[in-house]
Amino acid sequence: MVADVFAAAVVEALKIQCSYDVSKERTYICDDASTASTIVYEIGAVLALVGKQFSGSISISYSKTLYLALIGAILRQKFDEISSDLEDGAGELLNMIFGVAKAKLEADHGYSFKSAIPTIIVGPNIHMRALTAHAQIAVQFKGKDGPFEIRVSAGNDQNS
Amino acid sequence: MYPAATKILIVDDTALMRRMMRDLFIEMGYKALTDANDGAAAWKEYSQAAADGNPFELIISDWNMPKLSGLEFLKLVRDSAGGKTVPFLMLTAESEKDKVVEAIKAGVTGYITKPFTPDTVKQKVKAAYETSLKNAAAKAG
Repeated sequence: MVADVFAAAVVEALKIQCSYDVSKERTYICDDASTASTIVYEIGAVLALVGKQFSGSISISYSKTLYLALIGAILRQKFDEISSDLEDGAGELLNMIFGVAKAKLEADHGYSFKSAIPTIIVGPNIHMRALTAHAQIAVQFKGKDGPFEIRVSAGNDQNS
Repeated sequence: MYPAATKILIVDDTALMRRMMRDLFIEMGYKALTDANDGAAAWKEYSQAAADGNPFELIISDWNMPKLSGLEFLKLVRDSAGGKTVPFLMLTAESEKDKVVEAIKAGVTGYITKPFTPDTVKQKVKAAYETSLKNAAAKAG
C-alpha cells in the first residue's frame, strides 16, 4: 500500500513540476532475481523514512535520458550531460515526491513519519538496494525519454 | 505586478531550484536578482543590502535549508529595522502545510507548495504585490 501511494506521488509530482507524463510499467519484489530489472540507471537519490507506524527508505533511479528530460523540462532547456549543477535535482524531485506521498499517507491513513536529507548517487550503472529485513518493492515507470524506478522498503521494525 | 527593477532575493539550497526561479523571474521581466544557497547566506545578503540603503523588495525562500531555515530567516527579517513589510514568499513541501500556520504567525506574505508550476509562482508574486499595495494604502490612509 505504501509503495502504491509513492507510485501515485511520482506521477503527480512529475506532472506538476516538470509537466511530464510518466506511466507505471510494473511492480516487482527486488529480491526475486527472476523479475529483477536489468535497466541501466545513472543517477538516483535515496531518502530514509522514520515514523511511528513504519520506517524504511524510498529511492529513485533514473536513466540518463529520462533524468535530463525532466531537468530540461523544469529549466526549459535541453541538456546532453548530467553536470554537477544538475545533480541536486534528483534529491529535490525525491523530496517533492516524498512530500506528496506523506501528505496522502497522513491524511488517508493517519501515518506520521519524517524523512532525512536525501543522498544523491551518480554513476554509470547505479543499483539501489536497501539493507533491511522488510521486502523491497520496486515500481518501474516509463516516460517518452526512458525508464526510471522507485524502490520502497517500509515496515514496522518493532514487529520484524 | 512589481516594477521590473524590483530587487529580489531568491533563497534555496538546491542549485536547480535557484536556477529555475532565476529563469522564471527573468522571464517575468525582473532584472535585479540575487540568490543565496541557505538561510545564513540569505541573511548576510539581506543585511548588507539593508545597510547599504538598497534593501531587497521581494524575498522568495525555501523552508528546509541547512544553517538557517527559511522560517528562521523570515523571523530575522521581520525583527530587523525596515523588515516588517518586505514581501516574503515561502516554498514548502506538500507535507508541511501544517507548518504554514507557524510561518503566518512569523509574518510570511504567502507560500508556494512544492511541486508547483511556473503559473503558481506568477500568481503568488502578483498576490504578494497586491497585498503590498493594500498595506501601503492602509498605512497611508
